[in-house]
Amino acid sequence: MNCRAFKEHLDDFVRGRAAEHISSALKTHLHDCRDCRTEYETHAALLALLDKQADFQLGPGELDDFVPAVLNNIDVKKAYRAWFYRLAPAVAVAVVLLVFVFGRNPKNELSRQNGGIVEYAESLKMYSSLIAAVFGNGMAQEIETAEQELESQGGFFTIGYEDLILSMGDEDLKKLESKLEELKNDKG
Amino acid sequence: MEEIKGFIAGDDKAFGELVNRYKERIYAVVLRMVGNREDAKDIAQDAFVRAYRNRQSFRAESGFYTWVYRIAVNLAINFLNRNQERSAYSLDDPKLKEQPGESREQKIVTDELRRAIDKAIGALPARQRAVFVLRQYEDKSNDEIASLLSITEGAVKANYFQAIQKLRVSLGQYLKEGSLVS
Repeated sequence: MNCRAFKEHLDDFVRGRAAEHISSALKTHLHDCRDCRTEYETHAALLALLDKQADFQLGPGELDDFVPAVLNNIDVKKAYRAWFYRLAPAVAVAVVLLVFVFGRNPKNELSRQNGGIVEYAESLKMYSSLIAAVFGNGMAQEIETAEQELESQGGFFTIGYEDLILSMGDEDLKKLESKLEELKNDKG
Repeated sequence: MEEIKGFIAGDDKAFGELVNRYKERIYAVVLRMVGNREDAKDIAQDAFVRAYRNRQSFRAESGFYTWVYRIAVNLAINFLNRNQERSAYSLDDPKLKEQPGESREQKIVTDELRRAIDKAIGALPARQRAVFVLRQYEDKSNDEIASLLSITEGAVKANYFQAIQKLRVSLGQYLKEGSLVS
């Protein structure tokens, strides 16, 4: 075993997780290599030090309200989910305002066919502040919550406003476009 | 098993019993990752709520605990990514100052050491911290961590290596030629 292989297995070895034949080779190498012996001692000391933080105590009654809070939240979440389905009109109005403010053609921005969807997604970066400004922070918070609802099983990456719209199916998107057109005509 | 059946069927009581059974373990791993009791509680509760909401996609063979654990760990990472400048990492409960049988001098040394470790772990970026915590305190293997975080085993090793290097530097004064100073 060389020093590189030793270092690769060092952590498992210190934790007693290395396979027997590897442990045996590591021990032989340890005996012969002073640098690796120092490395081993330092790593073992570090893990032992960190292990001092292995235990922590729960405070008295710290989790007493845990279960009731979870059960209450289930009902709240059900209400939030309903919000998601009610989001489309608010989103449509916000897009129209965005378009009027910045003079863009919503039809182009919403079209998946002509690549406008990318431009549209970029424009959505303003959604959070726009919705908060138009509908108040409460609505922005609701949308934020609905956004979180979309995170299936706490996925590693968060889903932003862009994804909220981009994740809509063609049918929903069509409805959104239609609503936009309607609002545009009303305005005209 | 009855609770699992009830949980899948949407029985709140059965679900409540499962939550009660696993709340401490789920809370503990989240607390280790975020280093703040209030946030850890919120995240752990959210993990159970999401589990309930997605119960139709639950596969019994993976186990309820494993499933919620996975959700909780990923929620904690999400939280850390969103709250980089969050309050200091600390596992100490202010209500638990006294340890039985510990002298004043011992307590000073222990407290200082724990604070130093907290600070060092708290300084790690989200993913490095997650990988480190799962390996050091949850005793997970690299492939288990890779599966939990949906990253490659190579990424686990790289993140763990970087975390260890940083901890070694941060806690260098407490290490002396392989021996603990304290």
